[in-house]
Amino acid sequence: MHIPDGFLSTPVWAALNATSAVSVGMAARRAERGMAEGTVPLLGVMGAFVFAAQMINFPVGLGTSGHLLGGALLGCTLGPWAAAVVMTAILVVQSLVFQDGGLLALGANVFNMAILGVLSGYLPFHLWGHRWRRPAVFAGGVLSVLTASFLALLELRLSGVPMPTAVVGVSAGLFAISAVLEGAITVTVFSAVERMNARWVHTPQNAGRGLGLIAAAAALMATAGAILASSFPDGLEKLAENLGIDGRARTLFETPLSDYELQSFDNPWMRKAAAGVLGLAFIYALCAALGGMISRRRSG
Amino acid sequence: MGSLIEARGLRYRYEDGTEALRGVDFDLDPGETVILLGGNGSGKTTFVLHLNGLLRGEGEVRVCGMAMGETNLASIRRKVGVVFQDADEQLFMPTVLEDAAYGLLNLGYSRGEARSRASAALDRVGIGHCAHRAPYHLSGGEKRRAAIAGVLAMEPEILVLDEPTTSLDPPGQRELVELLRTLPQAKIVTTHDTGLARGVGTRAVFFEAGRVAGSGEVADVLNRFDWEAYRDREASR
Amino acid sequence: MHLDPDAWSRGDSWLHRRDGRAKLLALIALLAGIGTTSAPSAYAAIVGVLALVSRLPLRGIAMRAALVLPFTMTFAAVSILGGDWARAQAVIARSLLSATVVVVAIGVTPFASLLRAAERMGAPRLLVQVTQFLYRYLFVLFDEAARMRWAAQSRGGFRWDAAGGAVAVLFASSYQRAEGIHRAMLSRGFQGSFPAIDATRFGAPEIAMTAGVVALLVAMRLIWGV
Repeated sequence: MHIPDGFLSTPVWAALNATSAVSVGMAARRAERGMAEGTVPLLGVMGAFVFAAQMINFPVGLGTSGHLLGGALLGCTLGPWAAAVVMTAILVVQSLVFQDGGLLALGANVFNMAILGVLSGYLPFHLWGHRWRRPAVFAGGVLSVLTASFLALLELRLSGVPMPTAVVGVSAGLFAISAVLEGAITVTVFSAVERMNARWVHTPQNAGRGLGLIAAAAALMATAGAILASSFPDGLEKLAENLGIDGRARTLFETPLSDYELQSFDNPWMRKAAAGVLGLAFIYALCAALGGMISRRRSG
Repeated sequence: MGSLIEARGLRYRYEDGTEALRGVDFDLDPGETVILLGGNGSGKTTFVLHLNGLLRGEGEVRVCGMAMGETNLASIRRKVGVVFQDADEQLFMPTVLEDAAYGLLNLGYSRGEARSRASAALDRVGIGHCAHRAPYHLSGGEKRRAAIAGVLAMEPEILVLDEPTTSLDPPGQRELVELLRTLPQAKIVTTHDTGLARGVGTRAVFFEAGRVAGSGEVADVLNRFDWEAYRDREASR
Repeated sequence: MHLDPDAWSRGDSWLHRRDGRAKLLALIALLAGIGTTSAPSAYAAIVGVLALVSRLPLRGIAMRAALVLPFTMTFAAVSILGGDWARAQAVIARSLLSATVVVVAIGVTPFASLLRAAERMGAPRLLVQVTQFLYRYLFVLFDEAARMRWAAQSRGGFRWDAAGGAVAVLFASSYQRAEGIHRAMLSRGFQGSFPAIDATRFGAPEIAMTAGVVALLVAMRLIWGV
C-alpha cells in the first residue's frame, strides 16, 4: 500500500521522513560492511527483478491472481540490510517514475515497506530458518505485508483520514488475504531458488541476533499500535492529554501553520497524530539504542 | 616484436569440478584476427575470460610481454579490451555517452577529455547520434556498436569479442563485419557464425573439450572440422 | 516500441538545463508547501506555470499525474460518504498537484541527474548506485518477464507451481546478469565508483530558481495565508 502525497499530516510525514533517512543511512552502512565486490550491480538488478516478477501472476482461483511483493524474499536472499536498501530503491523508482506513492510520503512508505516490512519479513527466517525453513519463510512473507499495511493504515489514521469501522474491517480482511498470499508466493519462489543454487540464499549469521529482537519489538509495537488506534480511538487521545502534548504541540507548530492546522489541534486526530509520532520516535530511539548496545558488545 | 598474447599450458577448473581448460597453448600476433571456434562447453569463452585476468587458471598467460598477475592487472586490462556477448550487461551506465566514457574516467582522464574521446569512439563506430540515449532504447546493432565503442575509447591494442553477432539480424551482421574490418587492432573473436569467421578471420583455432584441437587458415579449419555440420548437430541436441 | 520514461527529460527548456540539485530543492519546497497548506488549490497556478515553462506535453503530464487517482478517490469517497466535501476536495487537490509537480520535475531531469543530485546532497552512495542499476535494468527485466508471461498465456496461463518456477528462473537470470555486469565493469577498470561526465554547476540561475521558489512559498504563507 503506497501512500500518495496529500494524505499524511505534516507531523506524520515529517517525522517519518526523518526516521527513514536515518534508518536507510544505517542500513546502507551495515550492508556495505563486509559486502563482496560486485554486490552493487547485483542489488540493483535484484531491485529490477522484483519489479519484473510482479508481472507474473499466481492464480488464486475464482479468476483472480496475486503477485510477489518481494520484501521478505529479498530479506531471505540478500540479507536484511541490503534488502532494506534495495526495497528503498524500488520505492524511489515507484514514486518518481510510476507515481506510485508520494515523494513527501516516501519516508512513510520506506518506513513501512523497506525498513519494518523487510526486517519483519526477514525475522522468522533469522530465528527459525535453520530448523523450520519453509514455515519460517512463509511467516516472513505474511509478517512483512501485515506490518507494512497496518503501519500505513495507522499513519493514515493518525493523519486524520476518516476511517469508519467498516473501512477498517474490510481493509484488515484484505490485508490478511494478501499477507497469506505473499507468504505462499514467497515460500514457493524461495524454495525453487534454493533448489537451483543454495548460494543464492542468505545464511543467517549470529552477528545479526540483535536485529531480530529489534525488528520483532518494532513490528509488535507497530501492530499493537494499529490495533489500539483502530479499536480504542480515544486511547491515543487520552495518552496525548496525559503527556501534555496538546499544549506543547500547539506552541511547537503554531507559527508556520495556517488557521486550518491550528483548528485541527482542537481536533482529537491532530493530538493523536502528535502522540503517534512521538510513539514512533520513541520506538525508533529504542531500536537505535538497542542496536548500538548490541553492536558495541559484539565488537568488544 | 613478439606475440601480443601468449598462453602456455593453461588449465582451469570451475568450482563444481568441471575441467573447462586442459592445457591450452595459444599465440596472437600483431595484425591478426583469430577466430575461436568450438561447441558450447568447449572452453573458448572460459579461455577468453583469462585474457584480461577475470579468471586465473594454472599455466602461463603473457600480454604484450607482461605476465598475468595482480601487479600487471590494470595495465593488462588496458591493453586487452573485451566486448562481451550480452551488450546489455556491458552497457551499464545511464546513457551511451556515459558508458563510452566510463573506462576513460577510470583511467584518470579529466571529464572534458573523457567526453571528447568517448564521443570520438561513438562516431568511429557510427552511432554518434545515439550519445544521449539510454542503452535500453537502442536496437541490437546499435547496442553492439555502443559496447564496442566503450572498449575502443580506452585504445586497447587487442580486441576480444565474444559472439559479437548474437541477436543481430543479417544486415546487422554484415555491417558488423564491415566495422570490424576497419579496426586496426589485433582481434580474437569467438563465434558460431561462419559468415563472420570468413569475413574477418585471418586464422582460426578450433577448441574441443578444453583443448586446442586444430589451427590454421579459416576456410581450412572450417572444412577440417566440418564446422557447419558440427554446429547444426550441436544445435539439434 | 518501448515505454520510454526518459523521452521527456532529453528535451530542452530553461528548466531542463538547470542543475539537478536546484530542481530537487525546489521540488521538495513546493511539495512541502502543498503538503502543509489549508488551500491547496491556491498552488494550482504555480504548478500550471511550471508545466508551461517545462515545454512538456500538458496532456501527458495530466495523464501521468492522474495515476494517483484510484488511491485518492477511494479515500475521498470515504470523506464524501461521511458528508465532508471540503476534506475530499482538499485531498484530491493536494494529491493531484503533488503528483503533477513530481511528473514535471522528473520530466525535465534525466533520472540519472536526479540521482546524482541526491547523492551530492547527502543521500547514501550505496542507495544511489543501487537505484541507478535498478533503473538501468528495469525494462530489460520487464521484457524478460513479459516474454515468460506470453509463453505461459499461450499455453493457458500459469499454474501456481509454474509461476513460482518462472519467478525463480527470472531470479536466476538476474543473478547471472549481475555477474556479467560485474565482469564488464572490471574489464574497464572499475575502481569502486561510477563517475559522471556531466558537470552542471549550482550557479546563479540555480540560486535564483531555488531562492525564488522558496520566497514565493514563504510569501504565500505569510502574506496571503495559503
